[in-house]
Amino acid sequence: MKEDLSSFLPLSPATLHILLSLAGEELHGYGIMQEVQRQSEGKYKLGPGTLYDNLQKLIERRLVEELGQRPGDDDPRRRYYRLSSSGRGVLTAEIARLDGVVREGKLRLQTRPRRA
Amino acid sequence: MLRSLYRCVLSAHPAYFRRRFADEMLSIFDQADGKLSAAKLLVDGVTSLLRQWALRPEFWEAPPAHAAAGDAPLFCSLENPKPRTAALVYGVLLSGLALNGVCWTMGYAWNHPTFMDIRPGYGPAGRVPESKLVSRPLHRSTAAPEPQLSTDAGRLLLVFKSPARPHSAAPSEGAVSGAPLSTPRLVSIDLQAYAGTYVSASAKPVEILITVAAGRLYVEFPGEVRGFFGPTSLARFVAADVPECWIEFAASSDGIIDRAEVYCRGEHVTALRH
Repeated sequence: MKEDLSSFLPLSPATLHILLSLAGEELHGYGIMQEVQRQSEGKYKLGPGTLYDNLQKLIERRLVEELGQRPGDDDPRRRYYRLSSSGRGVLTAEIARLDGVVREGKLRLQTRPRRA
Repeated sequence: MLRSLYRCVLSAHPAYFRRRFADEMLSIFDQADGKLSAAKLLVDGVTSLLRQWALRPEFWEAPPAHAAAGDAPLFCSLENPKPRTAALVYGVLLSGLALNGVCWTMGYAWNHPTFMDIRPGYGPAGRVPESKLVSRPLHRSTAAPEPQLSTDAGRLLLVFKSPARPHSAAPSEGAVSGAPLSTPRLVSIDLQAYAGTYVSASAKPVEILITVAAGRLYVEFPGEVRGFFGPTSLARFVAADVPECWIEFAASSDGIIDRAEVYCRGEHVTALRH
């Protein structure tokens, strides 16, 4: 049964950044925080409380999958997460939505009537 | 120090969240460089603690098992019995509204007392039957400044409703029924109509002296200190200081009070006016 992805939209900034950071590779929590900071060029910092609160919801909605620990990792307490197919679909839909917003915004700003 | 505090904060999280993420959060805390970063993480942890307990009741415990790969449920479980956050908020709002309504009602009732009119009626034997109470709001502006026989400092005021009648005459039913309902006023009783010497008709006559002083009716029994009697109706006066003691007056056919029935502590004396 295909899930209606539009029910997840629009995404909150934290959710969007987490999904976006997991779109490239599997990451642990600290890696997600660093990736979010890198993506936003340091303008958006995610604390562990907010991160794991959102991860909890995303796992519950099956947008993110928990992979567990990796034996060769420096810190055995770390768990890795990855984007599920549903999560990728939601992220794609959100990016498309934002793309439409950006296009509409640019169009409106360019066609602003000039003063005589 | 900060790490211990952070561990305490993490251990105070709901069990399900703590089991899943506490180790990772502590791992991130261990990688913080500097006390400022650690302090920020501590604040973040406290915020998370509040958020998890206040806004995430569905994650206090492990959620029900997910469906299997083929969308076939492994087993069914009942819905989480914990109330939703929105339900808690609505409950608090409704409780506040209900409490506010009750307090407002009590305050309104306290500031808008209902006063009772007593409309005395008279039986065929000249006795005053039980007073009839009529409830209606008092119009303070219409209250006539007449001498007040008895007042109550409490919230309930008993007002006799009767037209003025001639002195030394007992009230008649016709006079009472002729009083307009919309103009209640206090009854003006001439206490002198009750004053006099009453003598019991028993084998050993007892003389009862009833006097009026300072607008009050005093009754003096032989050998006893005189006491103040207050009216409860036009024909019934109750002792103010002595419990279970009252006098009922009766009038003759020409309206003059000529008999007093004295009830005191179980004893009854009929005394005729001398």
